[in-house]
Amino acid sequence: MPVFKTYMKLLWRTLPTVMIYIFLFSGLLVIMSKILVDNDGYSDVSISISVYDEDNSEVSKTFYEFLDNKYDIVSVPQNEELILDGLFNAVIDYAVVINDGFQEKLSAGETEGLFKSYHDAKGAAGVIVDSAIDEYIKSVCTYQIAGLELNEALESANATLLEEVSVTKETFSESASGGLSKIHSLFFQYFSYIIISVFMSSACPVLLKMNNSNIKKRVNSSCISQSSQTLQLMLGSAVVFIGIWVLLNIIGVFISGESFGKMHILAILNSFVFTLVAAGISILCTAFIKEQRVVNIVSNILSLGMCFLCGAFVPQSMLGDKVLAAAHLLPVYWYIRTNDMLSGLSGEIYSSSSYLLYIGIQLLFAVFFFITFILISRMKYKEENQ
Amino acid sequence: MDDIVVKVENLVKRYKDLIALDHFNLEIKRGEIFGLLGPNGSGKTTTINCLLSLLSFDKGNIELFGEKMTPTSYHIKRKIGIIMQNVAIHEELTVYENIDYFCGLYISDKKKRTEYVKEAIEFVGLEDFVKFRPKKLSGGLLRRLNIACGIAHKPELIILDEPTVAVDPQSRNKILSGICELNRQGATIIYTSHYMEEVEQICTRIAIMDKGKKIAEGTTSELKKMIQNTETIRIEVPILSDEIIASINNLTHIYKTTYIDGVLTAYCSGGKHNLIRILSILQDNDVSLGRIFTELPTLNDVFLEITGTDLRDKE
Repeated sequence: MPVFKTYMKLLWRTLPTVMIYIFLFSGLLVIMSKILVDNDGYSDVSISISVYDEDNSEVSKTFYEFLDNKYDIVSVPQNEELILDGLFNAVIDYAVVINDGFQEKLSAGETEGLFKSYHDAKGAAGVIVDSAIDEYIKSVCTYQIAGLELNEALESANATLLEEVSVTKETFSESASGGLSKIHSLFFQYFSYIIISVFMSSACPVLLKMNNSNIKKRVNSSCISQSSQTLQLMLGSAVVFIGIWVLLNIIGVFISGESFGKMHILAILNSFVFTLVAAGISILCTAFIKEQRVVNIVSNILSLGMCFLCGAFVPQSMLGDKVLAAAHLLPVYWYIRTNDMLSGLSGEIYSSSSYLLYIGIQLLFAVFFFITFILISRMKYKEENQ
Repeated sequence: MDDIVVKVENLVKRYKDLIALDHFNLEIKRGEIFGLLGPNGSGKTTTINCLLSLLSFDKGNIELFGEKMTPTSYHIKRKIGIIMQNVAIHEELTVYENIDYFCGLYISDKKKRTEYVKEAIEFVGLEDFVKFRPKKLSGGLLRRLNIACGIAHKPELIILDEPTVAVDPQSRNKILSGICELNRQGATIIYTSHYMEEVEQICTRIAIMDKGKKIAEGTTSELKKMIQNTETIRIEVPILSDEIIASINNLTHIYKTTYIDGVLTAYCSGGKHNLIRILSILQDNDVSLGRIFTELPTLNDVFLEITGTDLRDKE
């Protein structure tokens, strides 16, 4: 198989470029995985408040305890100017003055004029603390109406409203069996860019050299048949495409250090189908392009252009409607959409029918690219032989 | 019939309105060095491409080694070595790898191939450059590599399409002597060129082509006999009267005389003492002379006389 062997020898010469792409990709993944592990995207933020008790009664002290348990109490002198400065400089998010007569009014079931509060009208903290205080007072009143003494009503309100609520963050993928982790999701998003770039910088130059008109004429005059040449070139290309796909997936698994789940396997299958698409694109390019310099330019335009337009670098949810409408015509869009569905990034719930539809669309793109390449090659062959 | 290696009958090849080959006929016998001579665009490369079935043709028949040549006649192609006009090699492979690759297109046995590749390297004198990439080779060495790639599999018929284009004289001589050596080893050679001196030097038989037609065929001497001119005499004469020119022109065997820029040129057709007779006339008229040149006819003269244009004018 002299053509295949030479294909491999020529491919070997392009290895440095391919390795640069793969090393950069791996490095980026390692950095991103570190960031993702350190930051799970959720953190509990406490609100800083200042409390001034002018009533100084048993009831106001109990209320003070409630606020102390719920928020961070910060000491700021009771001076309106200083309080406003504290709010402006974000030393405190909220300030509340418990008015004199708080216990009396609350015993009588009155809820007006109990407090005076300071907060940023546009800030969330004001709404949250206002709501909590309002809820507390309403609870106390409700318990009193239900027949409890004021002390008992205060204790009950404290017990109920200070109860810790455990927060669990769930994604669509994690809720499904074998969900796609963040690092895997990230890997498969960038995979679309890297696979096109690597193919264009490895297989394209080799195919261009093998299809150089002088070389081709020379080989055609030998006793190697046309079909054997084509088969050997196809075999060489298949080795490249599958080899790089396997290598990238091994890197993905190695970096994430996670075991395979159902979604992961589906994402790997999706990446394989997209590998066929990328193979089709790079092979089709060799039918139009004659020079390596042009291949590099086209490679950047295609890989970066499609990946930006289709949401590989920017989530599809953040892209405009017109951009998304145009992106429907590109295979990367369907690849990313499948990934987003598997990882739950787009909010689209996984369904096997949608998955198969998106995979099918990608396959159609791949078939289209290969058939176009074959037709152009045949036309060229006829032209050259006439 | 076994002696006929190449037989082309009534070959017609058209590129739209242009007729590249016009009822072209050719027969090449085993062991010949056959020269296809003609200006650029005369149809030499088209003939080669048709012979190798790299081009389809409109009419005619091609037989190689007694069999009809088709694009799938791989058993015939196995016996042919082709050295293309444009160097066809992989820039990324070394000299050895290139020869091994092209030899591998014919010879699958690795041991045999290794032996053949070494022999080809020795034959073209590239022993010191086996690990070199083509970029590091000079134009002459590159041409030699191209030849090694074409002959490594020991073909019976070797086609060389303008193998000495842009080659220095030293490499050219090496290539030409190499071709003669291949012929001595038993290979039949088809050599296309527009350098008539080369063709004249090495070819046992020559076909002259112009505008897709074979205009003459034979050995060098046979071709030269086809034309009227047998000798051209040039004499530097500063001053010469029309009467003297007319008397020279009237000499037997002199069919044409010109006098341009102080050079008298007399074209002779047969006769043994033409120069002496011209000199006698000049001496009788007391004419002072400069340098004297006599030239035997070249293939260019053959081409010139048959087509009315100079072979070199058409390059």
